[in-house]
Amino acid sequence: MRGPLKLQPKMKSKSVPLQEGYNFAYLDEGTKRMIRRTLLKAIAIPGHQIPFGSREMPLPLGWGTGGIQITAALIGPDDILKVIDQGADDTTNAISIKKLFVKTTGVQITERTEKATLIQTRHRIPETPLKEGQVIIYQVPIPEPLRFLEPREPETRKMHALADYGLMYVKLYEDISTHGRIATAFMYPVLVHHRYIASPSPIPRFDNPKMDRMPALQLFGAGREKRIYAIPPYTTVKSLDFEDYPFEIEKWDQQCALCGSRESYLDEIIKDDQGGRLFVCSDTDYCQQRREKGKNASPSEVVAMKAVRRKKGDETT
Amino acid sequence: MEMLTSSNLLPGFSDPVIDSQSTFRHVLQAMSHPGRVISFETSIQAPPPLYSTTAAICLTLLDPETPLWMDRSEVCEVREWLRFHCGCSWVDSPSRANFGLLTQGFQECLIDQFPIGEEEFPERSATLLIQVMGFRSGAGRFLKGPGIKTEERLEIEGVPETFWKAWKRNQRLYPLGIDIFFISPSALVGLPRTVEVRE
Repeated sequence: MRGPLKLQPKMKSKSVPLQEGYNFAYLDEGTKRMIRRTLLKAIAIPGHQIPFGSREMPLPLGWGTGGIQITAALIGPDDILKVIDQGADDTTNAISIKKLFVKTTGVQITERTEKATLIQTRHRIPETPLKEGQVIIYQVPIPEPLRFLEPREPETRKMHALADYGLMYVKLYEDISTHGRIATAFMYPVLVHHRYIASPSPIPRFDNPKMDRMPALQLFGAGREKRIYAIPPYTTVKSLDFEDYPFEIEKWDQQCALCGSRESYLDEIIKDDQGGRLFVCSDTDYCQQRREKGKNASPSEVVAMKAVRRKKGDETT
Repeated sequence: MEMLTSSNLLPGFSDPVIDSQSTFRHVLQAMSHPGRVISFETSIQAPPPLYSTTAAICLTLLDPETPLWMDRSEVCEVREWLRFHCGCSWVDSPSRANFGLLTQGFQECLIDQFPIGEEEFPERSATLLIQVMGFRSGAGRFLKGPGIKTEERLEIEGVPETFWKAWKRNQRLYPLGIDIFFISPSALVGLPRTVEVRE
């Protein structure tokens, strides 16, 4: 075996010096090759989960180790990385993952969706539509969509092999008979390329339609469960439903209290102990960009947004 | 067999980490956009009959975990070079190979011998690296499938008619089947099993 690889001087070192004693992007080259081969097969069989040798990472399992390992196998010195956690660029999980890659690769970090070449995400797809050439990497806790219905791995594997998905439809039907509608709000199962049922990871079902024929490459990594799967660009992704109960996304009566958006996925924030609440965009970059645009916008838009802020009792921004 | 000496062994990547990363991104692009001609260059000096592009892809994907079958296994330089840089093991029969390296282009008698995967593990199928003369996009056959926005047209120089018949057979096996990378001296094209071909 080769000795530890020295970091090459041609890598851009930004303000943070690269951590010594680690390979570029933390993983060793053998592991990267194994993940790379798995990724190629995953793309060739859209939606099919492939076992891989998931490694110990410097973060605990459940903190996005699957996504991190895929990112580490892809990332190069010229990449621009964006990491989001529930749509936010500045929460703990996103910050720690970004720090890991800055320390071990020196890559450029961005919060702007359209500038990123790699986007690692926990539980959201950005509101800004993704373009061809971008890669979105999902952190997946439970890759098997049938797991809650059938706990035995050999059985679920057989169901995928035979495309025997009756059980999943029974579950959705039971939802309707109990709640009058399909009550699954997140991790809403999808049928990929008319063949495999896959879990879109716990994204809200609001994001499901964005997966269908997305121009960007979608990769899914589950570190604890040791599975990788993928959806190539322009692939048909159908959210399961019934003719008389078609798939629907969530809707809000409110709009974002900060940017006034009516199209984006909103988080509810409790303001005080008097029952005061606020709805804001979950995608912080989208919200920020809209607010920046609002500053330079035509007077009527500014007036409208100020009115919104007054109504929500939030003049701080 | 000729002994391995430092004098007759060509070097691999000058920077193994960064070079294999950038090669992989080309390979990934080819796989996620089937039929698209992905041009790529490398400064690697490869032992003939390997193209430098093929050599770079071998260095990126092969290692001791990938049993390899090659059509001209009597070429000592290639064997030694791959053994030294990738450490890959060789198999005598295509049916046990993980990767197939076809340096002399497509041969029909071989294509059906590679593993196509199992019902429950369709990923346990072979990936073929086939060397060809070149590509012409915008002409030839129409390709459709995941990764292709509407339709892609592709002509592969030096691939006989019989290949496309064999590909139809492979396509019918979905989700089983083999995946192919066609490699020319300056570009590569991915053909995953999902691709449907029409004349």
